[in-house]
Amino acid sequence: MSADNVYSVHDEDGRITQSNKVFDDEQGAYGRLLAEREWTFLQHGGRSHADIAGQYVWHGELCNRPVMRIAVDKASIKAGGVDVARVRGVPRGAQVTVYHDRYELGSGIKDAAPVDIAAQTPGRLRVLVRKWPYQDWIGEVEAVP
Amino acid sequence: MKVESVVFNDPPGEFRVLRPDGDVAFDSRLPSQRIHLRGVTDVVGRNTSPAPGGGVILNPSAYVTVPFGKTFPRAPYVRSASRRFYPPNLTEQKAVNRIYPPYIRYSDAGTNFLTYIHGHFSNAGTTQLYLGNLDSTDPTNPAAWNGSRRVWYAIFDNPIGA
Repeated sequence: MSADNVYSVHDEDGRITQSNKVFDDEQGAYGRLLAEREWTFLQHGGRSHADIAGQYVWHGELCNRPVMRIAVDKASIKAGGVDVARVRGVPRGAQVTVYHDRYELGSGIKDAAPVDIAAQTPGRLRVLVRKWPYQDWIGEVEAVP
Repeated sequence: MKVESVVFNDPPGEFRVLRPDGDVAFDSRLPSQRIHLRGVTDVVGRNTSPAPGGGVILNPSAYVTVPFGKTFPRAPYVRSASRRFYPPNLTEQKAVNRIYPPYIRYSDAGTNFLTYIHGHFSNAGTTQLYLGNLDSTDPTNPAAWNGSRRVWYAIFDNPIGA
């Protein structure tokens, strides 16, 4: 049995969509099966399957997704739309989505300016920042009466 | 088999399925389970459609194919469990993790699924595992949910946990 018996299927950007550890992989048979199906995959070692949220495939290697250095300057703001929390460190080109409780308030691509968060009504605001291959960043701000 | 909860990633990559009384129904860490394959995948989104008279039809849901790469001498046992994220990858929508019976397809026709009996499948000659209709039996489905579901699964060939 090959020691490299973990198979991580990924897309062209390296996003892992499926990862399987095969315990009775005779002479790499599972890899041949995936190749026959024309699936893009990386065969690698490991005591378990890949972490599909925290890892990706880059230049033929399994890598950890980097972490964005993002911080928000306030944990709470006053509702009403005037008080704002400023989110710093969002990389240019990142997708920023703001949720008010479970409802999406808005989404857009970050440009050069910092991201300011405000709310008309009380509730929990969540900020989701996405930029591949970074790990998603999630911050919370409470809007109080 | 009534399942109460699932312990994920303890240690990383492993999962355990627990019965309501706390007994372990499946433990991916145990070599005695003679595991053939263990894996994880993300199933993104699902389709919904309006139902006559209102409401939402929850089928079809999302499917994922896991090739086995071999034919078993007898039916393997399968355990799968999943977490639903809403919106995608932002939060877990449910405190209790959901357990879904996977489908095993045993013919290339794609229409013949094995019967799910007491937590395992009762036929042989399987080559692919289909994790499908992941939300179809969940009465708490929101009408407009379009998040993602992360599914852990294991295929093994002894009756521990059946």
